Amino acid sequence: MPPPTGPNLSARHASDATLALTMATSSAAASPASAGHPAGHEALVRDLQAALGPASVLHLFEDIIAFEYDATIERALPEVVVFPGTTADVSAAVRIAEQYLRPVVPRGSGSGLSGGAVPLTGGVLVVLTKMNRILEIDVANRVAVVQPGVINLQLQEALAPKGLLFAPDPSSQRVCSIGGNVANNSGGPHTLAHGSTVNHVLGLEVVLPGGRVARLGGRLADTPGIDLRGLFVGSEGTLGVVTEVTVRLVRTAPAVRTLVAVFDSVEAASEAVSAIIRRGIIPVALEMLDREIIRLVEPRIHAGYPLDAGAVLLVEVEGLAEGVDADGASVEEACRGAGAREIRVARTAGERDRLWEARRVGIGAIGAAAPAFYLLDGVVPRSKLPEVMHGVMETSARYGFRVANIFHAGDGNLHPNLMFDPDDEGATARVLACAEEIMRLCVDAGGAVTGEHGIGLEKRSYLEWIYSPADLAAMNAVRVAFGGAERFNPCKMLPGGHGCASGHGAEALNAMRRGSDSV
Amino acid sequence: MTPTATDLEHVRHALSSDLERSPQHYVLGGVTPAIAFAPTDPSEIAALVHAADEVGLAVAPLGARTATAVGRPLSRYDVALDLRALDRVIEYVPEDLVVTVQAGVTLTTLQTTLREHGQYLPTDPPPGDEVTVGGLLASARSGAWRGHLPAARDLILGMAVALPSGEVVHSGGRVVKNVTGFDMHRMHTGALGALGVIVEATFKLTPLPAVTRTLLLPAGDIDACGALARRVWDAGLVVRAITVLGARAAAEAMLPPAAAVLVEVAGSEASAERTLREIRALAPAAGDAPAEAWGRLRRLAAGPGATVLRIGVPPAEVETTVAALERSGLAAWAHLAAGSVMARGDVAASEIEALRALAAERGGFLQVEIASATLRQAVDPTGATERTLVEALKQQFDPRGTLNPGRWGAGL
Amino acid sequence: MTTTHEAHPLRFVGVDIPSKADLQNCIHCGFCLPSCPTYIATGQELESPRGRLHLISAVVDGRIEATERVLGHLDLCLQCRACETACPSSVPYGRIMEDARASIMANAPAAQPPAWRGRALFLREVLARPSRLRVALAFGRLYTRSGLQALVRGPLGATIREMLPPALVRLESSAPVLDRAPFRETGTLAAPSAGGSSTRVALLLGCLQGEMYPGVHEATVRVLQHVGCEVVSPEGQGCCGALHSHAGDVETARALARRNIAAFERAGVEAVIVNAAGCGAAMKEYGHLLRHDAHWAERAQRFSEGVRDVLEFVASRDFASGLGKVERTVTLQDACHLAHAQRIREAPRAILGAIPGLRLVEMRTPDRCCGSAGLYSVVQPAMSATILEAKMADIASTGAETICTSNPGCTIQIEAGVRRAGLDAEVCHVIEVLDEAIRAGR
Ligand SMILES: Cc1cc2nc3c(=O)[nH]c(=O)nc-3n(C[C@H](O)[C@H](O)[C@H](O)COP(=O)(O)OP(=O)(O)OC[C@H]3O[C@@H](n4cnc5c(N)ncnc54)[C@H](O)[C@@H]3O)c2cc1C
Ligand code: SF4
Ligand code: SF4
Repeated sequence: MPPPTGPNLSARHASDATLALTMATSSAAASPASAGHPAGHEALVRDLQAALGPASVLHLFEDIIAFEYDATIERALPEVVVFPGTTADVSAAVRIAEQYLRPVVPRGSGSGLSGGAVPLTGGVLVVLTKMNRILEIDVANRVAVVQPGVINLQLQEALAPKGLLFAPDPSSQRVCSIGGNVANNSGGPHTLAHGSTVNHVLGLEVVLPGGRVARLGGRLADTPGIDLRGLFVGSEGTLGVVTEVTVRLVRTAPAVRTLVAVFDSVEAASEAVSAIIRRGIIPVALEMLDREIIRLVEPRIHAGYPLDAGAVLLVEVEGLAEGVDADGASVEEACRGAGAREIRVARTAGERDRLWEARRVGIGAIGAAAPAFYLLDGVVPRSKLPEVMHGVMETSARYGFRVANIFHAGDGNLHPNLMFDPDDEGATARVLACAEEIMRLCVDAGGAVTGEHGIGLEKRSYLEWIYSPADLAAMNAVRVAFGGAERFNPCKMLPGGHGCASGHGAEALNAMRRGSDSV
Repeated sequence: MTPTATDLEHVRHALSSDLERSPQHYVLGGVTPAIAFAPTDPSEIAALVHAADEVGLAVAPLGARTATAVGRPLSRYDVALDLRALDRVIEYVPEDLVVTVQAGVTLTTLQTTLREHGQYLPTDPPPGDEVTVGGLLASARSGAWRGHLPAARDLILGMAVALPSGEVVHSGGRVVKNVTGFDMHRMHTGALGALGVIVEATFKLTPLPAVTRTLLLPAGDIDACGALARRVWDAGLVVRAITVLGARAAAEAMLPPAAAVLVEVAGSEASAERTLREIRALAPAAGDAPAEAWGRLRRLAAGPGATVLRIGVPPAEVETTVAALERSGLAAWAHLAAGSVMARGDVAASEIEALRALAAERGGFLQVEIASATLRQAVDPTGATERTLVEALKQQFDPRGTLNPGRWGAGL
Repeated sequence: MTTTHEAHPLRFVGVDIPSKADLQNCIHCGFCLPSCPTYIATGQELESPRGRLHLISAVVDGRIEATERVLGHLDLCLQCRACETACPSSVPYGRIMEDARASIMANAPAAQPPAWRGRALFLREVLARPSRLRVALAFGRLYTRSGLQALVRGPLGATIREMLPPALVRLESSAPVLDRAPFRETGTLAAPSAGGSSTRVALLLGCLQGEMYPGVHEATVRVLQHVGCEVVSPEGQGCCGALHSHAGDVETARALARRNIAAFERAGVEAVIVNAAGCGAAMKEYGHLLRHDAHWAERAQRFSEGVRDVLEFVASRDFASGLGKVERTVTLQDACHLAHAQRIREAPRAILGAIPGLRLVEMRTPDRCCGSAGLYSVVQPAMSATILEAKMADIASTGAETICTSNPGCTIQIEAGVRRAGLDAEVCHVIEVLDEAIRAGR
């Protein structure tokens, strides 16, 4: 726990400690034999079964083992997994967990990239995949109400015929849940123009300590009162469980143009990003793919990315046809000015889709090409992009890692992927050291240590590079106000905490050592 | 309870004496504070608030004082904290479309600086650009652009806040996309200064539109105006504001005294031209209107002399709401995209409660934006329902009720 | 908390244990989840590709044993391989699952899960043996011809249906109508063209297609002739072994593969044409199946390279000239083993799209499994029925009069679906529609 500084902030820490859990930390992906259950396990399971029905509760080792992961290399076993069907189920599960002093960890689709849904200290994992109904689409008022388990793409597909869309479009949209989007304040390629998830959430129904159900925000923007909605979005499941989300919808633009600008180097493409913005144009999306990525994805998707490019920018402008023409031309000029050797404009919806497919499968393609990779998520001011990208390439080369970059360049949101073989002597430690250096570059350039994937387990120690102990204590005070750090998703987001492994990257290192199930 | 001389001495001790001001200049709701300061630096503010906290004095952070009639009246008021001397633009990188400013900077100053680089902070709060950035954020009021452009709470990237604990704490950063830690800055945005004193803020900016045009679309009665406004909204055009005016509101904004739709076109030349064409096709009677009409509406929404209500209803119901309000003698206008209906005039507490119930029935809300202290005692201005969490947050950040006590109601 | 509920929890044994290299490709991104029919039906990670891969990994690593529960999750997998198409990381799911099943079946027979043993036994003793299969099908044919089937399914059958247990009624309604003489010809099926310019190809008769849908073979031969082929049907060929592989009985599958390779090698053809997607997929993977077999590995690889699905083959040739009109609304169900296993999606669409008068109305997710999946509909009737129901709803919304497939398993399943849903639509192979167009053009 960050050292409490002000007298006021420390006020609640005592009561927090009373909740401190005495349970055995089941960083339990270890061998099953070593995983003993904390006291009251049978009673906990029985009570959960009575409340939610036996079919909605899993507790055998060979069942819960499928809930020890998300899309990172982090692993930890829950003690019990529940599948609520209603808000009342969630409320009951939270109440029962609390009664047995177990933490609650919410989980959506488990596509998170920061270990957020990995239950580090065990407890009750609340999986929301069965709460997956779209409750309402109000076309006239551009509002939709969904359950948290609704898949982002499922909502988009329901909206498309009505000429509407939910603007947040993470590259993982075909799998990630809206609840996960809310918890991580997820972004996507179109965040550049539309903003992250928080700008599109009007209201939330949440389950808080004691199983209390609260409504934050409403069906309209700027509902009166302190903006608890804005505080809850991006809280990574550490404040409570989201059980319903009311979202703002955006009209599909009448016209859109997607183009690819081909550059000889990542640095040149980075220059072009600033050149575009300098012209007073904010494209809806402005993404970069480097040579490594192009060579991995092009042979699979045949979108026409040139294999000899140093980097390409994937740019999309939208609006009225006239505006799109003008902006498109201006983007082309800016790119040529920065040294683009070729520009291709998608002529059909199919072509456009294929170009975007590269963005969607890019990260997976790295998985196929290397025994393991480590995906970073840093942000820098756009104007620092050329210099920082140069540093990224230089640093990974110095460590001897292949690096593939596929990222939201317009937002300055980098995603270097370091490829390595965990079986190589010392590789994991070197990857973490290299990653740390790259994150330092971002911070030194005035940036941040995560743009969209969240802090989760993986980046807690980086927070101290950016925030003072007092800053962190203030953040912790929010958690205390919401019932304390041990109730919901312990060990996430803020450094330290009871029973949480400490030290940078320790979790990651352990997970990698565990072997085959980790990549 | 009047503060004792020792208490005041304790507070004075925290700051250099040249920062002290005459309390006479800071009368609020008839109450003169015991002491007043105009610090120039965040650490001075933290020191002041901390000192006041130690001896149990109540502090009211003040900017341009355009929104002091928002929320409940203060229950105690001992120290006036004038933030206008905190007036520096700390960092502005046009290429990044990001600016960091101190809380006392006015929107006028900020927009002037930004305009030189073809950029602006797209927000149009009442009563006008004289508001300070701190006040803009603490009251989180928006105007006609809301729903078309992101509002202050969407544009805020980072913040520094002085706490009664004596610390200045930061959240967020200076990059446009950031999920590093809790978004404390969102919590403070709209908190009416009850959880900390905003001393610094970083915003995401927008390029200025090449062309702006204001059009007045007369369409017959208010129902026809509502329907027309929605057609314009649905056409996917480059507009920055679509406001449905009741006849009374139109008159007060010095426009022809009849129901109408006021539209602001804003975009690139090509897009604006196309938009004007399409609007004329939808509303052949459309004509140019003075851009000042927007400024007048902003001023009307800020009160002085009248009660102002903001009623949130689904966009599909704005015209019926405007009609009902105008029938009961108020001037009413609605910013369509945000579903934000503004009403101005004389209203009794009982009427407000009835209207609030009506709005709630439609999934909306009613906020008393500006009203006399008496009225703000008689009805809860915000009608916000979630009290447990707000109390818990107040307990964490300002347990002794030092900052703006009472503004969120008794004990808060 | 090791759970040893069962008497003989199993491990993976033998040479086919899923390789770490294959398993490591999975980055746990979850992209495969929403395309998995069993995950869609259950919302359950344990019934998802990622969950199953994780379980298999855990068994390989010895973290868990292959308990009845674990096997249950593996068993509920349709092996439709939609997850492979969705996977950005090229995880060879189909191979991993077959390897996992083989590694279970490599345990001593007494230790094998009884249901798995029974299934393998049935496949080995009936499907792989034409004489026994024919006897079984003869009963089916008798059921149809005797009029009993019509009686049970007709209005008067209501009472009979009420008397039977629901599961049996469902099973009955799955049974195909067998009203035609089987296609079992070997030798030359279509003579070379006079000019000598024709391509010599061989046709796989398979175990079921010729018995149940002889019309598909007849159409195939005519279409191949239309695109300039000489068609032979080699003596000695047999069942492809796909279902045996799927069920983990790799030894039988390998024996069948060797027999087929030998038979087709003798025929000296340029391509082996298959009109059952499941068989084609399996035969394209003979190389992998026999990789450990020093004598056969290379031959198998070469053989696999010559295998073509009939639609893939026809679409690559000049098939579109001289087609007559087929005025009909058609929808296409992608066979999983065509779309996902063989990655062929364009060919059937190109063919249907070239037929004058034909209106192709795509259903929602045409490449989602229909729930047939070999023996799946019999072994997992409940899940199969759930999946089929969703599929029939999608099909019905297209208003199609003809539902095209490219695999006999799918045809059986969708015919059953049509009956249960009371639709007025026929089910047939894409090649039959093309054949109709060719004949109409004469
Ligand atoms: C290949 C790939 C590409 C990606 N691309 C992007 C991208 O472009 N942009 C981006 O932002 N992210 C991206 N992600 C990350 C990830 O998909 C998002 O963070 C997503 O929002 C997570 O959703 P989920 O349902 O999978 O959540 P999970 O992984 O299940 O959970 C994530 C976090 O949310 C919490 N949570 C989940 N549901 C709830 C709930 N109902 N209430 C409270 N807390 C909850 C969990 O506790 C956890 O902390 C990508 C991931 C992958 C694998
Ligand atoms: S093969 Fe089909 S059923 Fe099996 S996991 Fe893959 S998608 Fe699911
Ligand atoms: S899509 Fe591929 S890599 Fe991702 S979880 Fe599924 S199998 Fe693993």
